[in-house]
Amino acid sequence: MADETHSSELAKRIGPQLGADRMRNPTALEANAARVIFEPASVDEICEVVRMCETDRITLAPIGAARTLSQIRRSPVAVGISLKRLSRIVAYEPDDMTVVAEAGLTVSDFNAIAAASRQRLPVDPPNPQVTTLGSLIGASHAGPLRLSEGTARDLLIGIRFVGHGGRVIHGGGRVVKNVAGYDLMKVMGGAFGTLGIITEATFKVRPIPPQYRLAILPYERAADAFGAASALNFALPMSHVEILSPSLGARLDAPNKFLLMTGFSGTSLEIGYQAEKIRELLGDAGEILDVQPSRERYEMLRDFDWTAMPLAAQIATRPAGLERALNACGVEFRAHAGSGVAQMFVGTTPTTSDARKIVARWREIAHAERGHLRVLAAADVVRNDLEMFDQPNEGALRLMRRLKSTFDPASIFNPACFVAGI
Amino acid sequence: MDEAPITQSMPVQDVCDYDLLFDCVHCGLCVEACPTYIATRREMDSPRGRIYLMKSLAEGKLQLDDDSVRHLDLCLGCRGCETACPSGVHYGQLIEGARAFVERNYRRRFFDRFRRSAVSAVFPYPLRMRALLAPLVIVDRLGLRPALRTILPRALRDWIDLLPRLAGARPLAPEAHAAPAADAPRVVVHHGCVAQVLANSENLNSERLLAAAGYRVVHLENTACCGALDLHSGNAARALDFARANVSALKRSGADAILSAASGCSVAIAEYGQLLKNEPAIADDARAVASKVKDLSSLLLAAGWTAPREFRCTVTYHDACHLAHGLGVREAPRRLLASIPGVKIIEMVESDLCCGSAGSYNLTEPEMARELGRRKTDNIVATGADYVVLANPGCEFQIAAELRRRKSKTTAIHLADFLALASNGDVR
Amino acid sequence: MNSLDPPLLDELRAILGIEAIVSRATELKVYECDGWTVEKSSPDILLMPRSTAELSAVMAALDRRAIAYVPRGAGTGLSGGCLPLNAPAMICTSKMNRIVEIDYDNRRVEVESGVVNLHVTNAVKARGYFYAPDPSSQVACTIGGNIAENSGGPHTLKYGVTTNHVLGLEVVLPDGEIVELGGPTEERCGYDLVGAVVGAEGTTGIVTRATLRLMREPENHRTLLASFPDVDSATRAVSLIIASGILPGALEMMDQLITRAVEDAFHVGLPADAGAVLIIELDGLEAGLTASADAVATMAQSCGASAVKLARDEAERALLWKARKRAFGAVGRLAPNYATQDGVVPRTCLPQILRVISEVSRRYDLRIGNVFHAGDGNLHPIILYDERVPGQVRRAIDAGRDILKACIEMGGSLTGEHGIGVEKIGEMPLLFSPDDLRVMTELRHVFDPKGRSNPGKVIPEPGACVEVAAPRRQVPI
Repeated sequence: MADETHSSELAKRIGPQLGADRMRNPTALEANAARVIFEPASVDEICEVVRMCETDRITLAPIGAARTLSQIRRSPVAVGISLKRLSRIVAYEPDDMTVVAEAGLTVSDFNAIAAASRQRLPVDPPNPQVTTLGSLIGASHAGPLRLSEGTARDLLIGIRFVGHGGRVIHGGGRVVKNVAGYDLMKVMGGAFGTLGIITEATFKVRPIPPQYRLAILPYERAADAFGAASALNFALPMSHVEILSPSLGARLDAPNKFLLMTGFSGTSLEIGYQAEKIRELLGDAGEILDVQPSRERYEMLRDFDWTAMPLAAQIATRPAGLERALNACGVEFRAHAGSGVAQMFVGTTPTTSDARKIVARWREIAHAERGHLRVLAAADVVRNDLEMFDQPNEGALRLMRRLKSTFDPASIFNPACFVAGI
Repeated sequence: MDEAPITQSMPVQDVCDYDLLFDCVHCGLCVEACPTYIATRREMDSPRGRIYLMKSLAEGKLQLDDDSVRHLDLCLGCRGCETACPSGVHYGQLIEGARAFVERNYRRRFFDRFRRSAVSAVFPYPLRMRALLAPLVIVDRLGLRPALRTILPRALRDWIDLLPRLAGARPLAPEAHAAPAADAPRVVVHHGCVAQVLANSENLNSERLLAAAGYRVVHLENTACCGALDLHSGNAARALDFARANVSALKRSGADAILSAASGCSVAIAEYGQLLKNEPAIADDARAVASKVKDLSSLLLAAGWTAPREFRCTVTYHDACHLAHGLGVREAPRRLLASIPGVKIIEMVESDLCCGSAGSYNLTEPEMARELGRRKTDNIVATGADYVVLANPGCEFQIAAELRRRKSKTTAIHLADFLALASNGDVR
Repeated sequence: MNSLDPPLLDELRAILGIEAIVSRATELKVYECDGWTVEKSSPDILLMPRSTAELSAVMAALDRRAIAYVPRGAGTGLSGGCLPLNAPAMICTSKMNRIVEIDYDNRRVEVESGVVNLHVTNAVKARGYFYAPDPSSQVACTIGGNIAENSGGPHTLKYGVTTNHVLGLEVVLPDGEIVELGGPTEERCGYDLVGAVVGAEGTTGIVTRATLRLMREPENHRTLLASFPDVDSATRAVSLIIASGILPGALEMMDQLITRAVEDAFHVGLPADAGAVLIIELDGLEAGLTASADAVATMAQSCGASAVKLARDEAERALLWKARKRAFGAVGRLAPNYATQDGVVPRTCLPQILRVISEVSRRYDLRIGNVFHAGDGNLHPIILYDERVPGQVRRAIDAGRDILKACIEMGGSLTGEHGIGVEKIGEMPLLFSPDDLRVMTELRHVFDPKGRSNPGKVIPEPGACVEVAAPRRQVPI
């Protein structure tokens, strides 16, 4: 394959220019994502590599986004860029409640530092210890807390990336409210590295609530669990309202039922009040966990790994339609009930034609609820025949193609694994 | 850096009080408070747009033409914008100035001129008005108004539709009351011009209610029109004449409080101080008279008025523009209504948006008036209330006409009449 | 009417009817500026479509003749965003003002872009919901204008700005094509084009419909009014409150000049002798509010607050907010003209920037009042001037520019919520590199390859020198 020779060519050229330690072979986890890994020590090195790749039409991608896609991509990019060495905090001023950090910093590493100021970046992607800020933005990871805190999209206030021609571009700034210029943060967010390489991000941070508790309530029927979720969501400002299908619940040593796992936070007064209100609304079934178990179960809830599944997808619908959609799909799931987003999967590898039919059916169901569906993981054997991303409408797609060709005229940034083959 | 040329603002035409224009900072917070903007959604039909027109005219950046006159004419003078304005723009004064400027400098088309002079020649003079309406009284007694309507041209038909049924409109005899306490405050109900012909019960009921509440009701020897009609149509000279006459009469009456059943008249009197400020001979008296203007509901509340009996019905309250935006009275009438046992108030949407009556506006700008009347009655009908209570006869005619057109079961009734009805079971 | 030939007029009339077209000079005169009154320019024609279909047909007709346009909502913008610059046609969305669908189950509302901001909340508040972005002009400004400017407001400290509340858009592109971007779901399918359109100041086409997120009203509020001897002590209190981990719904400051103007206008009982006041609004669960309010009051007092008053009821709370939201207008009582700035600094730089502002005020001999979103670091220095006094307009503009430069030096931004428009276009190069601006232009061209939509806004024309910012056509109203 052309890319293969190219990446080794590039490796040979980068070695003498930037230092041999910059290039390495992919790990097992990265093997599906990229043929060779480039670990730059500065933004300038990224610029240089982007220019080289443009000249030689070599594909490249930030490894975070590439790895997120590695369970669905058909072939690896030639060069994966790992920002391991670009993981410093540039400026963190707790009183401003903002942080500027290089994109290679992981969510966990930042939150460990922010905790000293009783602050956090309130995003909870699965496994935040391996999720870099770059991949958080680029692959639009989110978790249960999206209900109360929003997603990276809502918290990102500034961005710096290397775009085509090896230019360093910045948008936004360091202040929490800013409408100067176009919102490049939105453009780069969720673009899966197809428009450039994010090198630095500025986020709003938030105070860590004084206390957090988790309530777990079992239900025989999904409809009852969703009904309870919606009642709670109406009555109280819940931190998250998640519903697990029975087999996932079982993994948390809970009864083999639909589990409503809802978190709430605040001062001890507020915690007491909410606990009481939850009991009042939902009765005595289930339990409200203590501080430590709350934390542990929440982390299990957050860290479910879909990428190991033979076929997994994320569905997004209007919140009130989610139960209907999941019911129609008839699969195991974790649902962000208040947000209308759920991850779902089948546990055994389907045949190629079954996989195609399953995804097509799921998608049809999502569309009926004015939503859409993205495949998160598919076993190697079924991957080639699947359409991983849903197709935007024709008008929007035309704009997206124009955006891609404008931002990436040489078509080198993580090509052919985003919507409609972008 | 080059100094960009900056042209200085300078008035070249006397459109209105030029300095007052500078209170407007062009923020636009007024536009949604303006009935005509709500109807047309065009800037030149908004207060900010009209002020901009006035300023452009004053500075000679625009010449008075059909378009500028059109948009100034279309203003209802409701002053909803004054309530909305954070900068304290005296819009009422500005538009009155601009209207006088228009009348001085612009020749209207024949029909428009005729329409306006008819209003101006008849309305302020009760005798002329009674004479003119005499034939219609007969028509109404015979129940022939529907027949008459069919043969009238459209413009006249719209006018006739606004009139209440005149058959029973005989003057009511003033009633005897228990003698008020010696130190009872003296109050004058200014009977107005059109109101005493078409809505005299409102004047008389106001007087009865006040007397019953312990006020000493004093009558004016001669009542001149308050002048509002003229001010709003740009006839400043006659407005000043009326104002002078009223100031002397009101001063002579020794009134402690002055009110009118027509809130537009109340506001006009309340502004005599401003209007006559440049006439040294009378300026002090005008200010004193102006400061005494009150409204019926506040006076009744102050005297501890209570309803003598239960009156079961649902009511929605319409804020007459000049009462709400001019005098700032909103709560008092509602409190009064709510104090009547059995009365349930249902608030309507946009209760303080002009109904389109606006003095003689519904006669000179019938189309816009109808549109606003429809919007108002939509909101009234949506409450399902038995009565829509209001404190201005003009609003009553306008809203009643629109309610009749849609055969609604809701009755439009003046506050004074409603209180009388609730107290005695009869408007009489 | 130079660029508009009779066949085009006929075509536009056929689409809209004459009622919806304004083409006479007198009537167009009132459209020559918005809330930014320093520069003026009339459009040659104003078009007022009532539906997406009409708007699309109008834009296609203009596109066929290569005529640029400027979109306009209610004209309450403060940066000249709808000033016609090389755009003969103005397209006003004020007649497209229907609330299309309220979907409580999904907490969504779909509106046409001419709907007034406050009308959205009014439509849903009986059921306990509200639309969060609440710019001070919310009684009049339109959702379409909010989307163009990415408007904020006092409550955005906790709830975010417009872009955080827009899920889907119907946009008419400059060639008349109607596209649906985003939708009713929280996740997007493909690139986040909604995010690109929000805040683009009408340069990416005209938004005709929007799907907005509704928020649940918090259980309760506590609104506090704290008076301080000076601005410094008030800013210290702001930092202390934020550092304590309490996140108020809003945290607003007014200095003495503004406090007095507001008190004169609205009589809400603000202390006229205070050097600065803070309006602090806490919202959330009733169970925690009293404790939080007590904590905030204690913190304010520890920073020197002479008095902390709690709004006793909803009426008092409403009055405080009315006073705050109409502060800009109240300034009309102090001077015939004002120019307001919208710079942002990191919150910790507030004391520094306020010192700079008072220094600028002395240097230019102009009074400057401050009313601003202290929690966000979003300043609104209001520079008072009188256009009738020779030289004052120029001084007001220069003073504003000095303040903005200081904001940028402190790591801040030119504008927190008013937009760049024409007002601050000259300062853009202070904030963005030529490469940044080039990429932004490329993004704009994705939507508007021919440069027809609101030309002359946001991005300075290539070749314009960094220090331009020379006022283009300064004609006071």
